[in-house]
Amino acid sequence: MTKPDDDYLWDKTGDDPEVARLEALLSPLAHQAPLDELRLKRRRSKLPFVIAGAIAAAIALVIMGKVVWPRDSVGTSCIGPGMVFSSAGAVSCNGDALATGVLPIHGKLETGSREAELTIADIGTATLSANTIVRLDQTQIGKRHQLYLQEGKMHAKVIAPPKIFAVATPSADVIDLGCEYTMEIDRSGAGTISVQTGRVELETANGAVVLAPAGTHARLLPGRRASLPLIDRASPGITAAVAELEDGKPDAIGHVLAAATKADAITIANLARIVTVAQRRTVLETLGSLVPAPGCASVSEALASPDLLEIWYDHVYLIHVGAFDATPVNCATPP
Amino acid sequence: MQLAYSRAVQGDALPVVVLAAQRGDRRAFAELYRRFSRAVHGVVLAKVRYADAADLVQDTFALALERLGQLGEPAAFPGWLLSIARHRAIDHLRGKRPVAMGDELPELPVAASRASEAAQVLTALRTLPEAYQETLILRLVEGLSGPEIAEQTGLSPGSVRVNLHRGMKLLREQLGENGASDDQAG
Repeated sequence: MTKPDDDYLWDKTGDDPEVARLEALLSPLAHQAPLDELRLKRRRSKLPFVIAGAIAAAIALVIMGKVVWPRDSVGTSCIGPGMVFSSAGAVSCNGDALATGVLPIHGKLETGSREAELTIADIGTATLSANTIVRLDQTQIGKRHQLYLQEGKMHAKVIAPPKIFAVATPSADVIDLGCEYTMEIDRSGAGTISVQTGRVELETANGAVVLAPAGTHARLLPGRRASLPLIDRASPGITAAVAELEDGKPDAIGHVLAAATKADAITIANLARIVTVAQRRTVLETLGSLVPAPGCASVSEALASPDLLEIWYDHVYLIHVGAFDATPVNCATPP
Repeated sequence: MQLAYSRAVQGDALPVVVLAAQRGDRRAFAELYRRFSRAVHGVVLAKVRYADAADLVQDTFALALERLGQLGEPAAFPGWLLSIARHRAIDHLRGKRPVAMGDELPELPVAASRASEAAQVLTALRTLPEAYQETLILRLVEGLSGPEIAEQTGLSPGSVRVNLHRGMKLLREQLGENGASDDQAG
């Protein structure tokens, strides 16, 4: 038995190996689960019978034409499981004018002239600007929370494991990989996304997926197409070339490759993801000249190995976010 | 403005957060959960099996939210909340047989080679007087320091220190008698 030292037991200073060993043994049992928002709402929605009776009586009076139910006072369609919203003034939740409430699953929130904030369970918030319309498609603690941004502007800040939060738009689905970003969708369904921290996945109707990391922005195009992410300080040359690509102009890929600098490597890595197999070699050759593949692997080796290709893309991403040194690598044989 | 407020709540004194939660601010309530969920877990774990404890934590907070308006003194929140937790744990145990060591073995999230010892220590902790078992579980399982335990239970720092000291002494005796601790120490 070791000699006890009360300081460690009290405030974790000093030393007591036996207490430390018991801590290590038992610490996996510590509580880590997030707050179960849905359970809170379920409890709150259990109205006492007296209140329920009063509501039933009031409804009966309405039916009898004795009372005009005030449209903005109750929000009966905005209770139950969903996402909590709040605003400095009334916004429209399923047609009810409310300053706070719960946006239910399949419910629609329209901010009108005000800003509103949605609480995404215990993982983050989505601030909605004026003239924004969202629908809640899904919310399951620990699984998935998904909104549909029909139009307007949303600033999302989420701290959660990847792919827990997603935003569908008329143009693309934005899958959160744990980050902060701003999206804007116009009435035609087109829009932009600008990523401030972390990275997001943009999924389009044809199944293509591009990854937009912090410090990049991308256009969300009608027809459910996401454009290539461009760095926020992208040159006019590559910006114009990417716009040509979005418009489907011939030779656009060549123009994007010609305009790319080392800082645009993240754009080129994403281009390699979405081009045809026949076009990929050319794109990878340019990528290799900007950021050589890890271990100086050749383009042929990368094309033959999907795993190596993913490692290369990750390498480009890590250099982009500053996690890796971007010092040029002198490969003995050019990739 | 809401975001800024939310950030402010995180650093606020407990009464400020409790008052905000009483006014219906759900982020303030989430902050209370962040600050006190481990303490609630420790208190219920002193009574119920591990697999049931997390569920009772959620239940305790759901009840607390429902009754928050009845709490007159915001500074009394810690003792009030833990009292709800103890009652929920006791309600849960009604009609059930006491937790036996073997019951929990398969459900403990520890390596198989250490599960038996973890279950043995947990069982030994539960045989201690209530004040000691709760305080020691908060210290050894939830990882709270003595001052944090005092803050989160509403007990005085002096009482917590005494509970930790006396409880640990009894636990060492228990484990020494059962041969659980020394066998695997070092």
